[in-house]
Amino acid sequence: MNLDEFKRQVLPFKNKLFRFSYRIVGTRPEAEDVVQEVFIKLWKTREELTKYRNLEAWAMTLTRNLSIDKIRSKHRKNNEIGESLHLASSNTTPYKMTEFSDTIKHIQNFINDLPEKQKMVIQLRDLQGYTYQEIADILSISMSQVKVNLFRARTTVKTKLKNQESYGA
Amino acid sequence: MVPNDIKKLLEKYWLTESTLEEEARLKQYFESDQIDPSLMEDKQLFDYFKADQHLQLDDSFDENLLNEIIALKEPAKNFRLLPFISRIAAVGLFLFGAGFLYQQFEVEDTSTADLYEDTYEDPALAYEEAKTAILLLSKTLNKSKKTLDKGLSKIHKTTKIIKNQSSKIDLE
Repeated sequence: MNLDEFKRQVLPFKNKLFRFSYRIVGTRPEAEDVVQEVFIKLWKTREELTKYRNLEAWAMTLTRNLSIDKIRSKHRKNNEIGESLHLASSNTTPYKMTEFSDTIKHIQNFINDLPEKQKMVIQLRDLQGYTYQEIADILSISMSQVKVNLFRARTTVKTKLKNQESYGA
Repeated sequence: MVPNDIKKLLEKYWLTESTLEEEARLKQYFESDQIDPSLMEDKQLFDYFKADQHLQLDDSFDENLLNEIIALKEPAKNFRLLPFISRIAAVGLFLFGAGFLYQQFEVEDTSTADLYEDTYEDPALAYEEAKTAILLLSKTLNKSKKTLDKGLSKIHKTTKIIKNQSSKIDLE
């Protein structure tokens, strides 16, 4: 794969990778670093890229792994990456705050507060539009786990939205 | 009033039974401003999904990344040149060595040719000289043989002692 092919076939993933990493690491510069690192890794292994049946899913897997490495090195706590770890800070936002309603900021916080797997699954499905199989491949979990985590994530967000509405009313 | 198909799709969505196409249909539906008030929470969620798409990298990212990649490419090129140069050097060295050896053999050929020429004109004198040389060689060989015999007898004695010792140990 030459540079032109790389630009045509691989570079277009950049915004999906960036949004995914951003939701894990929580800051724009760190997410940019992760995505750059992912592309450099892909470039270095460009001769082997044809063996992946879904290159985009592979790029997302690399993004997930490098993003988790990033927050691990940042926090250096004894927390295990799992259900208990809340990754991105809910205080940061990529958007100009004034452009978005409070509700959207709240939903962002609801999603940020989800356990790691649920957060990744809802992001990959509802924000990035991946199939269940692709999500299973990216996160190295089973399809049934994808569905369970997605169900829980959507239900939690909906419940919190409902509660917010009833408190606000 | 919620259209029936949307109602069904939403049910499937919340049960995680909807396909990507059905979810795309829902996203499209919620882009409208005239949504039934009973679906306000759903609309808010779908608005958020749409808003998230605005999170993007700017053009400077591409520029920086491509510069990094080009910077990576250069040493790789040099590295590939190295084996090529070393191959040429190896071939050169081989040719030089072969030429040198060929030259040496040619010199040796002429020098050995000289050895076959007679140095004595009188055959009797030549015979005497050869006899003296062979005797000298024989004397030296005999001397070496004696030294070798002495060494061998020592080894023989030592082997005998070791054998005796080991047989004693076996008996014990």
